[in-house]
Amino acid sequence: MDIQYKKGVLKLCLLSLLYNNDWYGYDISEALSKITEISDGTVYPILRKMKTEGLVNTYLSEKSNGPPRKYYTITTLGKEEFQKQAKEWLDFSEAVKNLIKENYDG
Amino acid sequence: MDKKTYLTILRNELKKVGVAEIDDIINEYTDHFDSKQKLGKTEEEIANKLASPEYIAKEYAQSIDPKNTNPNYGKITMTIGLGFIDIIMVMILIVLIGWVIVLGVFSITLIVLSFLLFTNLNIVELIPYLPYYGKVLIGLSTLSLSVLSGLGTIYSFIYIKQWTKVYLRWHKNMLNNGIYPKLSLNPEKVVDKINLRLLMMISLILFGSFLIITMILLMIDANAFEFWHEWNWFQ
Repeated sequence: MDIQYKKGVLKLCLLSLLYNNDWYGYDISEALSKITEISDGTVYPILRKMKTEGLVNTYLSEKSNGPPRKYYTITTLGKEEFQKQAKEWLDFSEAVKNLIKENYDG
Repeated sequence: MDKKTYLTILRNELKKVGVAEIDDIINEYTDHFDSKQKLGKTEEEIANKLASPEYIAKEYAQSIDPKNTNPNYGKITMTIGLGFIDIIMVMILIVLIGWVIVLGVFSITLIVLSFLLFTNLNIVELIPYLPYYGKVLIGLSTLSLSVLSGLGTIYSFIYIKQWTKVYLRWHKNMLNNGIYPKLSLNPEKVVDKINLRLLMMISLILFGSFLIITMILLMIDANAFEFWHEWNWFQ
């Protein structure tokens, strides 16, 4: 799939992932590589961009063994953005589905 | 590529594109390596699956929020302001180019002079009396100095070119909310490759040594400290 195309959707996926739970950066990367074929490590720049946009926040959490881990959490603005983008995406994908299914032989 | 190499390259690339909070980013990737290593993966395997450091640095450069990095000045005010700075910069550039030209002409003159000394030619009667060995030695000294100033010319040229590029990039960024990566003030590795510094050092030492040796030999020859008076140079 086209990379630029994917990146737009990835942001929506990340917002959905974080919607109810805080995630550790590495776990986000792993979860995403299960559903898409993006190279490892490309999710961190996207998360950083979302942070500067105010959609997510980070905090450090102390662990008994090893150094503190950085967790990502969604902001109110992030939740609003998710609702908006999710609607756009579902409407769009519904329209695309209707348009292409009549020609699809699968 | 092992973990250390990957992180070092990433750090350098991030510096190159002018991303802030580099330590924070490096921590993220260190964590990534550590977490995968706990699952039994080798550093090489992990690095192979990661996107290249160059690519990642570029992604971070793009992720810089334009609103955070640059206040939104009016485009017209910005263009006028930049216009004034441009005028000053062009004047400085002219001076710097002038310096390169002067240094270049100086080097060529020295080469011509050393050629005249070697061949014992004295076209315009400018070279005063000297025994031939003295001419050869002074010629060698002059040649070393010409190498030194020639290298200086190249050095200055490379740096001025790079600074011009840096300025043009800055100029472009001011008009485009800083979306392009900043350039380094130091030129690329070309300079190190030819090892200009070492060559310059050697030519400087040769220039000095030949000059001093010649002076001493001439003093002994003329049997006087101020041998130029013995040979009536200034009459």
